[in-house]
Formats: sequence, structure tokens, C-alpha cells
Amino acid sequence: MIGALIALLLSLLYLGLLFGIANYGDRMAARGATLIGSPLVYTLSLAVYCSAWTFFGSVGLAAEAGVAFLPIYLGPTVIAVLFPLLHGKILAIAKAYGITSIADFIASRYGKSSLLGGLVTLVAVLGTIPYISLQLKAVANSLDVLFAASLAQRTDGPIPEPALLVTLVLAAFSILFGTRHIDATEHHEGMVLAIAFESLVKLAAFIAVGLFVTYGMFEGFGDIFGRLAAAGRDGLLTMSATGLSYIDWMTYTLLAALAFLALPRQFQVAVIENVDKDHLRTATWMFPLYLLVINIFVLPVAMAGAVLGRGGDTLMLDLPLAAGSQIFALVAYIGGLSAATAMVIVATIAISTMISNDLVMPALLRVERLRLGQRHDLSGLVLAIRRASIFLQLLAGYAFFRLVAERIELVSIGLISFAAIAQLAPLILLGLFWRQASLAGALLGLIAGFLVWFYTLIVPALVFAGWLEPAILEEGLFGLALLRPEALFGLEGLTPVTHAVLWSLGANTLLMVVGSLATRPSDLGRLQAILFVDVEQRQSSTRLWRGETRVAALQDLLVRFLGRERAVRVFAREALRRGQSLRAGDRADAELVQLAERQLARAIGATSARLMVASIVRGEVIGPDALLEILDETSQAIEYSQKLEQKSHELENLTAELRRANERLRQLDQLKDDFIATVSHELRTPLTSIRSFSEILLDHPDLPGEQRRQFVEIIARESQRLTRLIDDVLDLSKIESGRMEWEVADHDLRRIIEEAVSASEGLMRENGIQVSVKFGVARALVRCDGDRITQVMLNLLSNAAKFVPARAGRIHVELRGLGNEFLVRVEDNGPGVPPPLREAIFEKFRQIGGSIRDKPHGTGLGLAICREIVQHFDGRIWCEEAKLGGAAICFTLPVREARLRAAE
Amino acid sequence: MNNGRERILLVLAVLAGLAFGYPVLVVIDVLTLCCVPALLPLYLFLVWAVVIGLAAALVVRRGEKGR
Repeated sequence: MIGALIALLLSLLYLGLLFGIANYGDRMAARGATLIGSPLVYTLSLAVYCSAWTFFGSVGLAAEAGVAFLPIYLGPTVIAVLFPLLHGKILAIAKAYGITSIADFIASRYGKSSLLGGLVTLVAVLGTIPYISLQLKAVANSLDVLFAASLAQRTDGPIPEPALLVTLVLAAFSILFGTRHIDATEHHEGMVLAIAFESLVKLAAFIAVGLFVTYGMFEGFGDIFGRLAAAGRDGLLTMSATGLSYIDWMTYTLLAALAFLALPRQFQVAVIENVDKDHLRTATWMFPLYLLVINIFVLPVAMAGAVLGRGGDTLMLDLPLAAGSQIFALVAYIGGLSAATAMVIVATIAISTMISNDLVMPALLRVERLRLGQRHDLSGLVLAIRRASIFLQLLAGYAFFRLVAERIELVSIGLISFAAIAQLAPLILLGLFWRQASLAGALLGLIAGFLVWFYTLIVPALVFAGWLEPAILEEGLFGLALLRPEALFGLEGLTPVTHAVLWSLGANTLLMVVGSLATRPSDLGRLQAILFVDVEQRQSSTRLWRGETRVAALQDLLVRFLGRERAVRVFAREALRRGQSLRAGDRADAELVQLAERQLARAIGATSARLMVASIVRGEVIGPDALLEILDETSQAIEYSQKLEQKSHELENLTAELRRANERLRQLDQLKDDFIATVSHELRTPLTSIRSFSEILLDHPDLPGEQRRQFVEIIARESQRLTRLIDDVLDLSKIESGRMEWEVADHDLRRIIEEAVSASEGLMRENGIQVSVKFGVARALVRCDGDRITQVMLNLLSNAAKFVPARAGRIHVELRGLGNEFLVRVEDNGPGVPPPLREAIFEKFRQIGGSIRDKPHGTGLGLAICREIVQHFDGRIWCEEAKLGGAAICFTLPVREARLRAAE
Repeated sequence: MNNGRERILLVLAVLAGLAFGYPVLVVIDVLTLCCVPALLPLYLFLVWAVVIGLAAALVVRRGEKGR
């Protein structure tokens, strides 16, 4: 049998071990060797979330309601996935502005308001006390079970003395652990190391007991679940067994998520004790993994209890004892003790900082009679306040346990706590992402949420504990049924926690939003909002102080709160950084004032620090002008950034344009080469003929007359070809340079077509080409240069003739009206033009075919000239597929009236 | 952490929230009752493990790239 003394002795030994670890961590840190620089330690310290509630409460709840315990772990799992987004930003803010606690964080965000800081502290204290009582109850219950086993005489309630003893030991332990330094931002390395160790211990203990129950008492998971089914209790593993509705489940998950975000102890380990922002990345997956692992054996142990007809919050101890294993019962006890002490230590340290920095010090500093501002050393006072507050918190926790919590289950106490702490979440979340969130809104929301929480959860708890008359639950406040605490405004059918959370968080958020929209924040409030919401853009501003003070005054101030040694060290380091000494009589610049404020904030919080610095800096702390100046700079920076972005876009466009121009140049260069090749070829061929035949005629004067005539004809024809080429080049050059003389008059397009077809009749007949003409209009009057349009027609016809198959060629010409235009279509049954080249054939010297040899006869200027002429008369020209199978060159010219109207 | 990865984490958190949500669990419950005993806890723990795996893959990969 376990002796009571052994259990107590073991507890003290374990606490001694923790203290040794903490001490070792602190000593190593003092030597400059940090032991908490690993992401694993950081993640394990986050596991302070798993308190005695997890260790004992989850199992107790699971034995009665199956998976109902899970939302409390699913909420933080979802938040953990969002660590890089949420905590990443919170960390950046905390590091930049020397934040010391969650109250400091919220107060700083809303204009460094001491009122809000105090209120947040109050909510945190009142929300944490039930939680502390939960831990005390769990440890006391464990001892009760162990004692009862030892004495073989179970008592009905927990034995009071161990609970008080536990309270006192934990108070002493927390004071020793957490109040050795005054600097609240200085990492409590020893404490973090001890908490990480505790997280390992509770995990190992849970797994050990789980394995013992599953494989020692039963034959594995299958055996437990099989026997559960055989006992007809497998319904415990369904959603209906949880007794939670859809809205309950979701509310519990949300509640756990928000509480995880706002719990002072979580903020302490996740933000204040963080030594490396990168640790968040590992915690994103490792923390949910920890939660998963610690929960794996909850159901098997609980189901084993259900199979054996046992339940309640002490199942983790009861089962090993029932199986006669005192060792595993002790392991479970140590695991639970570990979970409870970790929570109590971190929570009380975090809250003691808040009480001293955001509640007591600001209040004391405002009492002028105390003349605290003139005292030489205040560090002792700050530490005394913290120590006293730790002691009082634990005492209050004990009182709550004796007066109320004894009669309530662990889980219910935990949820009451969560619901209170969750009231801080809207202030954090809206404050992080919504610039307009103001102090007035935050105060309204927090007060409303807290009052509703108190009325809907604490009042019923006091009724159950016998401190209030049950009438208030049945009839409501002042006998008004609408004000029944558990059915506010007639909302019924929910669990008390869901009911309370929906009303309190709803009122909180609504009033916060309305209050923020309805009021205008103070200058400092607006500035802080910008600094918090846009923390990634601006890490610190050195322009927040405009007043005047001396270096000596600042140093004296630091000496009073930090001690002479540290104050001198701070100034020496700053002088070293600047590369110049800081003389006592020198005027302190804004940067130095900012540094002093930051250092003070680490010790007494941002609100008190601001008050103290303001007391020695003559002049305005920050006025609308300065604020506007800063905002102006900000907007200038934004504007500059926008301009930069615009320029960047313009540059991109220009680059693209340049690239296009370059490509065009390359093409033109290619065209030029083609032109030279084409012209040289075109010129050389007739010139060679002319030269050869001239030489033959010259060298052989005796040639027969017939042959001589034939040669002269060739010379004449080739000369004409040369002339044509030169004419084309000249024509194009004239059109392009605007030197062409146009003979503009009214012409019938039909007539022009007839003339052109008739003129090329010889060529067509010679090549056996069949030409057909179709007129869709009786008359097509256009205003143009008749000769030039005839030239276009002749060009198109001769072009078509070049491509049609020999002796089987067909060309079809068509004229018809097309709105305000006349359309002329010349199509053939040649090979056609592939779609990608249909635009290109109108370019100068662009002929289809890859090499000179493939190219058809011609100058390569015909279609280019056609296009210039048609476009000159406001027409369009293009190539498309012909009905005959080859190419169809189409062009339009505006009807005479339309062109005249356009000219007018 | 870049915006793209932040958005993926946000989506993952929303999906995890839905997968742990009551309607999905009720569907699993129906399957538990008719076909696979103790499916509900199994499902919950599996989804949990998947969420951890995906979060780890995302943040670890980002870390490697960062280095």
C-alpha cells in the first residue's frame, strides 16, 4: 500500500527536481549558454496547455460522454496551423515594442491605455482563478485517492490539509521560479526548461498508464472495444453519446481555439519566452502532434473504466489501483502533479507580471502622495507586488476550490475559465487586423462580454455551490423570465457553456465593432493601431517623442526601476553602438528616449513606462502635429511605393515594346536583305539577257534577219521588264513619301473592272485561263484615281494568273455592295495562301516561297502597291480562302457619298 | 512566410475545422453504427494526423527553401 507520506515525499522530491532543472537552466543562461534555443523545447513549453484537466478531466469526461473531450484539443490544433499567421505577427509586435504580457499587448494596441490594461488583467485574474482551483482540486483528489488506498478508508470528500499544503508549496515554488528578475521580457530560461521537462513527464506518464491499462489489464485496444460492445456500451463511441448538439460542438471548438490564443500562460510561453521566431514553424506541426499523442490513450482508458463500471475524474489512478499496481498509480499521480504544477507556475507568473505592470504600478504611480516617481529604487517594490500577487492568486484558487469547485466537475471548471479568457480574443484579433478597432470599442466589448460571462456562468455556479438562492435560475433576475442566467432572453436548449459563450462573445464582438465605428480613436490610439496592424512594414519608430530631456534624467529613471548596474550597462551599450559617449548634460534625442521607454517597459510594462517617461520629458509627448507628420511620412512612403510599382509596370511595358520593335527591326532587316537579293536578281536576269543578245548581235552581223528580229524582241521585252521593276519601286516610293499625284474623280468601279479584265484578256488566253465576272450591283460609283484602281485590278489579275495551274486555271472576279462600301473579290484556283502568311503577302518584297528560286516572277511590290493605293482611298485589302480552292484577294472602297461625307 | 503559403495554411485550417466539424462527424457516426465499430475515434485521429502531416510538409519545405 502507498503510504501517504511516500506520496507527499515523492511530490516534494519531484518539485525539488524541477527546481534543480530550472536552476540549472538559469545558471547556464547566466553563463551565456541557452538551453531553450531548440524548437522542441519551445513546443514542449506550449504543451503547458495540457493541464490536470487533460490528465484527469478528459478521461473522466470520456468515460461518460465518449469523444466529447476532443473539441478542447481540436480548437488549438486549428490555431496551431495558423501559427505563422497569427503568432508570427504577435511575436513581431511583442519583440518590436517590448511587450511583457497579454494585458500589456492589448493595452499597448489601444493607445497604451492603463484602464484597459487593468481591466484585461482583472478579467485574466478572474478567469484564471477557477483554472488554478481546478489544478488544486485535481492534485487534492489524487492525493485523496492515494491516501484512501493507503488507509483503506475512503472519505467522501477530499482531505483539506493536502489541498492547502499543495497550495502553499506551489505558491512558494512559483515565487522562487518566476520572480527572480525584474525584467519581464527577459526570458525565464530555467522556468521554460522545467516546463518542457514537465510536458515530457506528463506525456510519458499518460502513455505509461495507457499502455498498462490497455495491455496490462486488457489484451489491447481490440479487447477493450470488444468487451465494451459485449457490455452493450459501444454507443459511447458515437456522436450521440457526447450529448453535444451541432452548435455545442462547434462552440466548444471555437472556445478552445480562442482561449488558447488568449490564455495568459499560453501568451507567456508562446510569445514572451520565445527566443527564436523560427521555432513557430516547428510548433505548427509538432504541437498538434503532442496533443494527438497525449490524447491517444484517453479513450482506451476511459472505455476500460466503462467496461469495469468505473468513472469519474480519478480514473487514471483508480484503474491501476484496482489492478493492484501501486507503481502505475504513482506514475499517474506524478503525471497529474506535473501537469498541474506547470499550469500553476506559468499562469501565476504571467498574471503576477500583469498585476504589477498593468494594475498596481499604474495605480500607484498616479497617487502623487506616494511620490514613487522620486524614489531611488523601485525594483524591490515591483518584485514584492509580483510575489504577493502569486501568493494571493493561489490562495484565491484554493478559496474557489473550497467554496465552489468542490461540487463541480473538472471539465466544467475549465470551461468556465476558458469562457472568461476567450473574452480577450476579439480584442486581440480585431486589434491585429483592423486599424479602426478603438479603445472605446475594446472597453465596451470587454466589459459587456465579461458581465455576461459572470451572469451566465458564475451566478449558476454560485447557485450550485449553495451561495445563491436557486430562485434566480428559475425565475430570473428581478423575477424577469427573460433574464434567467441559463436561458437569457429565452434562449434554451443549449449547454450552459454554449449558452454563455454565444451571448458573451456575441455581445463582446458586437459592442466592440459598434463602439469602434462610432468613436474616433485618440492620436496615440491611431498611431498604435498603425504600428500594430502594419508591424511588418514598420518595426519601430524613433519619432514618437518630441519633448526635451537630458541624458542624466533618463539614466536616473532607469536606475530607479532597473538598478544602477543595468541602467549603466544599457547606456554604455548604446554609446558603444553610436560610437560616441553619452554625456549626462547632453540633450537626449528621440531615439534615446525611446530606448529608455523600451527598457522600462520590459520591467514595468508599456503603460507605466510611458507615464514615467512622460514625467521627465518636458513638452508634448505626441500631438496631432507629430502624428500627422508620421502619417504623412507613411502616406508618402505608400505613395512612393505605388509610384514605384507604376514605374515598374511602365518599364515592363516599355521592355515589351522594345522587344517587339527589335523583332520588327529584325524582320525589316531580313526584308531589306530579301529586297537586295530580289532586286539584284530581277535586275540581273533581264540585264544578262540584254547584254548577251546585244553582244551576239554585235559579234555576228551576218545573222539571218528572222533570228536577228527575235533577239531584238527579247532585248525589248527584257528592257520593259526592267522598266516595270523600276516603275514599281518608284511608285511605291512616291506613295509612301506622299509625292504621288492622285487624279481623283468619280468612277464606276464596274467599268474599271471590265477594262482591267479586257486588258488582261490576251494574257489569260495565252495561258488558257478561264475568267468569269459577276456584278452584284448595276453601278458602283466611287471617288478615286481610276488609273490607280485599274492598276490594282491588273495587278491582282496578273498575280492570280501566275499561280493558277497551267491550262486549267480559273479566275473569278466579283463586285457587290457591302453596306457603305463596294467589295471586289478576285479569286483563283491556285495553291492558295496559308493563313499565317495572309497578312505578310502585302508587305514589300514579301513573296511566298523560302528561297529566290521558289519565288514567282515579279517584283514583290505588286500587292504592297495595291495596299497603299486602296488604303489611300479609305479602303481595306486582305486575303482569304477562295471558293475555287485557291486564294481570294478582296478589297473594298467606300461608296462615293460615304467618302464625300467623310471628307466633309 | 510568403503570401501563397500563408493562404494554403489558412485553407488547411479551414479544412481541418470542417473535417472536425459536427456534420462530418455525424456522417462518420452513421457509418460507425452500421458498418465499422469505433470508426469515429479512428477517423478523428486519422484526420488529426493528416493535418499535422500537411502542416509539417508546408512549413518544413518552406524552411528548406529558405536555407
